[in-house]
Amino acid sequence: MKKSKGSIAKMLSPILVVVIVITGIVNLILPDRSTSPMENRSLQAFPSMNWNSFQNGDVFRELNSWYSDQFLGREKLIQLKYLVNKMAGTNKIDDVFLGKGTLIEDVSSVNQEQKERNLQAINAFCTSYEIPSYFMITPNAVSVQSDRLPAFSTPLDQNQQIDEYYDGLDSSIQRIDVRSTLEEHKDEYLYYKTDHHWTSLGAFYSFQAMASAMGLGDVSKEDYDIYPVSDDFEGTLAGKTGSVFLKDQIDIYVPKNNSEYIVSDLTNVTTSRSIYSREALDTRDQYTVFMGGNAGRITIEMDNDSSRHLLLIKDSYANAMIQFLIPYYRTIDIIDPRYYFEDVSRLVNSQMITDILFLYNSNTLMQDTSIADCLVMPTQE
Amino acid sequence: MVFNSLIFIFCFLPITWILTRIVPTTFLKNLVLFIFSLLFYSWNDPFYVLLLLISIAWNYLTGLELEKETGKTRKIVFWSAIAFNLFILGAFKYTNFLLGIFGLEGFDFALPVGLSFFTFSAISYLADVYKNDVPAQKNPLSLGLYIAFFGKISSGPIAFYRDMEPQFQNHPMNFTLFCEGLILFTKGLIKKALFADSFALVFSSLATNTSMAGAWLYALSYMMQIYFDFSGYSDMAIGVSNMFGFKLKINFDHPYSAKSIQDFWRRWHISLSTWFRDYVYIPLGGNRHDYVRNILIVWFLTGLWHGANWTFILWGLYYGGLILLEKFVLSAYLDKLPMAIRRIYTFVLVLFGWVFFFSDSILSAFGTFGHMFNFMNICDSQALFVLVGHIPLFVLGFLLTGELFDKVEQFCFQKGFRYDKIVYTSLYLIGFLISVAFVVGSTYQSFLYFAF
Repeated sequence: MKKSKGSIAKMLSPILVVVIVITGIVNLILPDRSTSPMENRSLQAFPSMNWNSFQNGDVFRELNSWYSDQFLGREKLIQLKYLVNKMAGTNKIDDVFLGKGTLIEDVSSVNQEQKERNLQAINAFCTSYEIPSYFMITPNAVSVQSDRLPAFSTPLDQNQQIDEYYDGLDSSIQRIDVRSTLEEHKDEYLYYKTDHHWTSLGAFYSFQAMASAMGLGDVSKEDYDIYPVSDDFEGTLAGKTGSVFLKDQIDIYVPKNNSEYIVSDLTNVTTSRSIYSREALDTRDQYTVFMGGNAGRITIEMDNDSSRHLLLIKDSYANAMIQFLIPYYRTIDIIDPRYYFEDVSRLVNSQMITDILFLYNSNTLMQDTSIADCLVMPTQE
Repeated sequence: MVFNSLIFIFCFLPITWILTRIVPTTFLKNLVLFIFSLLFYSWNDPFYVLLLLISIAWNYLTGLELEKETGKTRKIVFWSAIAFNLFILGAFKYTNFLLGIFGLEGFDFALPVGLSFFTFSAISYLADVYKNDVPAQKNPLSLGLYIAFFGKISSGPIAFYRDMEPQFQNHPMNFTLFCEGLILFTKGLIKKALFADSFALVFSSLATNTSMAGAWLYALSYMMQIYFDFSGYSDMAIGVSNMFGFKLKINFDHPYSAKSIQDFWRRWHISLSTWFRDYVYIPLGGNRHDYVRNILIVWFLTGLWHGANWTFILWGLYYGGLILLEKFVLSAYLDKLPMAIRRIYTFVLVLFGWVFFFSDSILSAFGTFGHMFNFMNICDSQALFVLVGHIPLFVLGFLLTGELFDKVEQFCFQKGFRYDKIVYTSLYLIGFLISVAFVVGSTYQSFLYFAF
């Protein structure tokens, strides 16, 4: 037995040596990359050497990260790990459930202290105007499509989180609760399989509920030209888990009765005649096809006869909703509190806002740390 | 630096090996190894390299001194040197614990990596010289390498000076030993990267579970994690040492198949139990006089060595108590029981031991025991969720800790089927590749929003 084992060692070792040495050499030769689209972060560069960083050990820590960040075939190896995990029956990687044919983000816990501050600021903001205010909390795939979760999953109760949030809002703010609507369609393609966002279809059903709540009339799918713009979308959840073989289709819904409009990104001082970004389809995060991603403030001006002016305070879920709103408003001002640092109340007056809509997905809302600071006007502090 | 990092496997190890290989004399080989060992050590915390050098110098000089002196002076030199070693160990490892007992605030400093291991190596040297088992080391480089060699400094095995001494003059880097070393290293890497780290995830995901099934899984996953972690690291250490021509004794021998607690400690962390036997238990009198006292002292110290916390002390004394119990009461019955029962008996007692070991406090250890016997809450869906997601891990892990896997291997080799070499080689290669994937994956962090 000993002899046979030795001969295996002698067969295996030269192969391993070759693998290790070649990998080592190729690693040193290959040029470093500065960013990883799959991980959505910058990669460690070769550390600068000086006495200080040597003394406190930073050099060594950075060398470790540099070597692993720049490692040959890093992304392929991460996908291999995913495949092995998947084959071994793993049902959750970090906070992502490996569901039935889909990846599903777990429910966030509630940042209670910040939630109270946000609610206070929202209530104060909305009650200080005689303007109808609406609040829509979108449930996530984890609660709407809970039948696709792996067996015995025990996520936190998102419905309760949403109920409690709605309960904290001032009674003058109208709640747009789309949970039952989405529940009715839960077997459809409401959420991307590889991304934490909803699809245009999910947004569309929610818009139907919203339209009746906000008095925009009846809408049906026939009112839109539906264009599939991508069928190889691999979103953030694919990035988090390293999943392979799962791909998503992105549809855009263009209203048939759309007028011309101009989109102005006042943070980046750019204008465009479309809310869709074709270039986004060439990047990894194809969801940014809607609005080109998140910006502090975007204003859309329509060439139509509407007398309504909407202020939309939102997170990235709203980006897929804006396409439905355009025909109904003369202007839409879109604020993302995470990136907007100016006085919102001044904007309400100057833009002659007639409707205020908050649109958030539950997971982001429960963790949000920017609404309160954005809405509290400097004079109130 | 740790063995299961990409930079060690693909950069540090090959470069060190090639340099060691091409320099002509043993002296130069040892010099290269010593310098790279210091580099390896400074990777964790450059400042503590000084501490390592002080320890080497102190023990080198003491060794020479011990050879010169006789009688009472010799005794004083020896004991003061031991005291100095223990003082360094105590200062870094136990200061905060002692202050805590008196309700005082501790200091904020990191424990030097491998301190417990290289201190014990140094004591082994002094004791062997003091007992005249070996001559004092005249060559400071050899002693430096004995204490600091990167193959064993961070987590052992605690190599004994008398075993290592002849090897410093001559450690031929031959092909057969190299191959055995590399295969052992691969095995250790698989244990660590694939199994230990996966069990660690199971363990942490069950930390708050209060059901009976959950608590058993929680304890079991730790039991698996620590075995794969520690024995994997030992395998890698011995493998690395072999590649450079050094031979170390095995450190783990299927401990979870042990037939008794006594047997378990002959198979678990063998170098540590041997160290305590040779340098504490036997000098105290062994089983010739004060047997019970000696056992309790040894196990108190064994517990304390593992960490500065009452939980570790209790864990050590738990084993001391069990060994006494086996010796005086159980052994007569145990011998008559079927093998399977004896193994289950040992396995369960060892499992209970780990509960003390992994708990932050004795209170939380008993909390876990409470959950393990909470018949009001047999199972919940979280426990089921974790179990269902890790069935192959538990099954494979269980098989690999036992002797079954080795028996299958042995059977295959003896019968010798046609493609055994190719099958085994590819299994190891795939194992290596997947382990590297898991190591890469552990450095992976993907952000939902741009994190530049």
